[in-house]
Amino acid sequence: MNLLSLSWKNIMNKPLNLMLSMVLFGLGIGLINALLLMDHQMKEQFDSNLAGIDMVIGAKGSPLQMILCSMYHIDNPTGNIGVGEAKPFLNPRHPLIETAVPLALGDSHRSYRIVGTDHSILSLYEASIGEGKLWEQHFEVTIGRVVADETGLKLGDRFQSSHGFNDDVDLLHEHGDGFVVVGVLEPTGSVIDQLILTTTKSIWDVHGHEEASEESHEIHAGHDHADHDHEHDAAGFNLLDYPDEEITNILIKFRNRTNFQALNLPRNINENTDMQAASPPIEINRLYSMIGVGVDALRNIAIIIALVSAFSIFISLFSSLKDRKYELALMRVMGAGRSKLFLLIVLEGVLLALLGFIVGYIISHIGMEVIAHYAKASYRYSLTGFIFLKEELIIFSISLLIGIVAALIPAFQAYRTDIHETLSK
Amino acid sequence: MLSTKDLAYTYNDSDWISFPDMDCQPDQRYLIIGQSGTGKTTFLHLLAGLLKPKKGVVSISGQNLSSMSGPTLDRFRGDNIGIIFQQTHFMDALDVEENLMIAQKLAGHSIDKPAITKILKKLNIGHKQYSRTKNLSQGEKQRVAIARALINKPVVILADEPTSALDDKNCLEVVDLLERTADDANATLLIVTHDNRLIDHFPNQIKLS
Repeated sequence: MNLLSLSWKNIMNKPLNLMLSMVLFGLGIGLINALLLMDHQMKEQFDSNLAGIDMVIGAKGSPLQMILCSMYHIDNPTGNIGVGEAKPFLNPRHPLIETAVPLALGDSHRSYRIVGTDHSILSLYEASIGEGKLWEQHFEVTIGRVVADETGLKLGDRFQSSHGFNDDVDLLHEHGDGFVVVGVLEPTGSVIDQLILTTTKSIWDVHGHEEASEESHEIHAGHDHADHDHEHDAAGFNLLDYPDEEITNILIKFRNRTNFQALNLPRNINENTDMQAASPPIEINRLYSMIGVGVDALRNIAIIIALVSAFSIFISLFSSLKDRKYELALMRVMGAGRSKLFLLIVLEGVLLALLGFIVGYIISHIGMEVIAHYAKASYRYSLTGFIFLKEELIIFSISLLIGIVAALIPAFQAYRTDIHETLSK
Repeated sequence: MLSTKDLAYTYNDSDWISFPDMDCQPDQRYLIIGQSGTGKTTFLHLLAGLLKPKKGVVSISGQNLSSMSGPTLDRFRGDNIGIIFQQTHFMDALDVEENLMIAQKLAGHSIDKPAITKILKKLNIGHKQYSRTKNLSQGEKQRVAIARALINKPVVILADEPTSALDDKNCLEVVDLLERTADDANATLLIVTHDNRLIDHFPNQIKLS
């Protein structure tokens, strides 16, 4: 039976007061903490997927949409660009460009996007092959780890792609035997885990073939087997040989990102071609600042709730003092000094705040886990409620501080208890 | 043991209440009697160090209460003076045992559960050791208050109108209880009262007027 256990019993003795403080404080802290978790993980996801990409080229439209589409795979393409038009930037001898990764988008399998590209995309995300091999032939695919885990696709499995981004049977393409899985990548934690990689020509063929089959089925039937095999042979395939075909985006890494000409390249493209170029960090910062308004508003609401709850702790302690005046005087009679009474009330404030923090902590992490499930379903982003951030320690300290501050005035009141006057009544 | 000299107090600097000099011996009981308004409670609080005298001296075991600093006086009081108030009050959040434990703790003693069990048994409330204080009857509360006042083996026991709310039978019982426990503890017992039923019991009487 010491001061701590006495203060604990005292707050437990007023369950309604305790609940009010805990619920209010828990809500405020929970909201702030959830925002923190959310903000941190979103930024981490976005930043890890920046993958050192300096510029994205695509069809004119919203630059943010283009970035979200080509790098985060959570939006639709702005359109396609001709290979012929994009030729200079795909040239490996371009003086400013170190890596140029072409992307042909448009199809997906069970909501996982099929990306027609070449092996250079692996270096962007530092991905390596885990099982099987990389895609070599047309209609061979190598899939990311998440795709493999979520769809259950295994080496040798075949599937048909569907048009767009939705898992819609009506939009299913039918192309011979469809795609065949030849490899699974090691997990990287970046967006490539959620992609199905194949050759650009496979994407063209799926679409071109469909149009052809609609026009005339006979031509397809007339294909002989040798011809078909030849068509699937990707050896010696060079994108630049197909100037009339289209791709969606090019992800570009500069040789030297501080080079003056490189810095001017996006502007040149935007002004002088029918294509647009955008810088991922700039667009993502724009996105942060747009989301930021909402986050700020939420944070302010959370802070107001936290202040109200601090006030509720204050009220709860202050009103309990009235009922306990005699008890406090009694403690003095039994040998407690004034400072002990002060400490007792501060401890009660801290305990209330601590309990509120625990409630808030649990609310925020469970809430985050719930949000993570939705985010996974709609954006394929893997967020989690089961992380611990250093910033949470700061929130913890602030909670305790609020408890102390809210208890100061009541504690001082207790400190000043006049025993003679109280006990004379 | 407990002595006062030239003790006087005023609430408004004009009307002074003077108190008789006392020199109380251990093992003795004293009755302080006076009608309402004669400063009984003030006297008791001065004796207990709850109120600082404006004039004069209160000494317990040879130590002048006025000369002690706040925390020292609080600790000294907890250790040496047991007080039984007219109205019994307890820490509501605690049970009987815990109320006695906090009394030990606040007086600077370590917690001694066997001593608690012993004193509760002696006062015939051993079965209430783990009851919440608000569930006790008036008589039981009085006994717990006595147990709390005595748990630290004080040298002086002060009782403020301990019998005023009791019928004759209970009155005698409580007086008997107080006398016995004071004897056991070798303590000086002072009872402040205006209850005439007690007058025959205590030869040492101090009148306030």
